[in-house]
Amino acid sequence: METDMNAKERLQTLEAALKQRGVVDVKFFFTTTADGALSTITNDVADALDDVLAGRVEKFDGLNDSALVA
Amino acid sequence: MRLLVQEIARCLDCARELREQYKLMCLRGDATRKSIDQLKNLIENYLGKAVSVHTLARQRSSIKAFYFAMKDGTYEIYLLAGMGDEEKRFAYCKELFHVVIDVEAYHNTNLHDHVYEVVATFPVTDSTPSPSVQSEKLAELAAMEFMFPYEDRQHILEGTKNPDAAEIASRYGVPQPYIELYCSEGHMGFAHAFRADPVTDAAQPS
Repeated sequence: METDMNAKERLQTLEAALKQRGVVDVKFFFTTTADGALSTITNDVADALDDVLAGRVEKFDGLNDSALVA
Repeated sequence: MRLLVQEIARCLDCARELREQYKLMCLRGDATRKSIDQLKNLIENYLGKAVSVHTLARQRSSIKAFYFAMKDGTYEIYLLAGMGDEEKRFAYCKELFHVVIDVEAYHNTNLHDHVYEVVATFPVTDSTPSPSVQSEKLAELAAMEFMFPYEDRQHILEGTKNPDAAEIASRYGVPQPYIELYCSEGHMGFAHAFRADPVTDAAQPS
């Protein structure tokens, strides 16, 4: 199994930025239908973390699935 | 993938305790379909863990969601776009259970090694990954115990050999593939050993 070196370096750069932000643990929910190639998964992870660090996120207001809402 | 027995037991106990608290503290606490919004409130109010949740516009990715534990003791969850209702409920619930079961031994910020290990060990039955990677599966086990507990599965399977997985998925708000996996003979056999209040004949003092 080989990793695209660019993807690996991207992750290492992101890793440093996340630590600086105060992150001490990261976990992922992987899709079962994903292309299993390590480089694809690594790049997808890097893209998503990039979004967070660049502020391309929105506050989630919940699923509105509580009985109070129903 | 092999998991540490004591960690499986601990994580399932966490899920059962939250189910009990959910029954006591949440509106319609005995409803079959659990509210994940109320689970989040319970985690914040009962366990005292602060969680902020965000969405990403990104979709068609190898990941559906992810989670950060922060140095100040708070947590962040990120949900990607493009998931169906039940898929989103389950992804949200699974990430919330990372918050619930969090211990320092699971912590890891070496992203490349973590991703590599997940890809290399998840499909291999007799692999024994690091605690950090094991916690990915443990959070799933705990989320399922909360949303579709062993006792409910056992009750359903006592009534029929061929349960209607689509109907159960809709009733519990859990993706159908997880209903099918967790009702399978192999998984039920595994879960039986970790059921609540097991008959402990072998462990009785003589």
